[in-house]
Amino acid sequence: MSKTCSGLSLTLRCREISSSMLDYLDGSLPPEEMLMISEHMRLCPDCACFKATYVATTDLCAKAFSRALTDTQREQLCTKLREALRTA
Amino acid sequence: MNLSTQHPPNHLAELDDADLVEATLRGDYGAFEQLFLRHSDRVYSVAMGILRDEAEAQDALQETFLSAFRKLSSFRRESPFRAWLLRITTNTCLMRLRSRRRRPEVPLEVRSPSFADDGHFERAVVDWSPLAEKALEDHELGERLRAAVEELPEKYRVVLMLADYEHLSMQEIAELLHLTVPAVKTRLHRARLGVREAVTDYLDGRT
Repeated sequence: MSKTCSGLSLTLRCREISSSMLDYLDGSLPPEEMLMISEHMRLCPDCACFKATYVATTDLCAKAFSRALTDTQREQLCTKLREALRTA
Repeated sequence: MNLSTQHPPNHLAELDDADLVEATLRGDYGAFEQLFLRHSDRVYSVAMGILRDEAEAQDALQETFLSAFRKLSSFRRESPFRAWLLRITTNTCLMRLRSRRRRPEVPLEVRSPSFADDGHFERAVVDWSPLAEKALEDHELGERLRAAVEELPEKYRVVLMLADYEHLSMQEIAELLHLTVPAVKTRLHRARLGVREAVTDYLDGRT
């Protein structure tokens, strides 16, 4: 898929879209490039799906890392901390 | 400092972190306990994300709060307590990683999408994102997701955790880990691709 923008002819392939996705979502690419990637995704279902799943992945990762102590663990750790602080 | 041994009174739960720090510095141990109760899950999550071992993560949690207690007078009210505590947590855990004999990491190539010679995706990309939230109720997906994250090389996993769980900026992560921003971005992107591939394998057949 090729596009002309501001007199420059650039060919954006899906591989390049994929490798630029973090910067695209970050908004840290030059405006012209942001526009070209948006246009590519408008016309390329694979890249549009890739973007959607890439974004969904970041949400899933947040959940993957989330842990909680059990009440028992928290109480035990709090007790240990209390004892340690006496001599701190 | 005289430390009270009573459980934190209810009113402490209404104080913000900076006020609890000040109360602790005035000798109210219950205030520090309140900070512990408020932040322990998050510190534990970060420790597990880095150390991947429950017992070690709990030790690191303990060490983090002890360290925080000792350094409490250096905490500046202008910055969030949580960010200050995260810095201590991350440094504590990374030091533990460096000093222990590491669990051998399988030198896996982190997976990423395949492309044909013409630069297009080798196979059609399926959008499973509408399923993702509901699919998390599926215990098996949750386990696969955790496994995919835990299997990431440490350098990718730590960046992923700081970016997508702690929501630090690229600059903040770079400073915390003594990396350049481009290095952080590269690691983060690769980590996300690796996890995405694992989730795609699982959900692909369900769309």
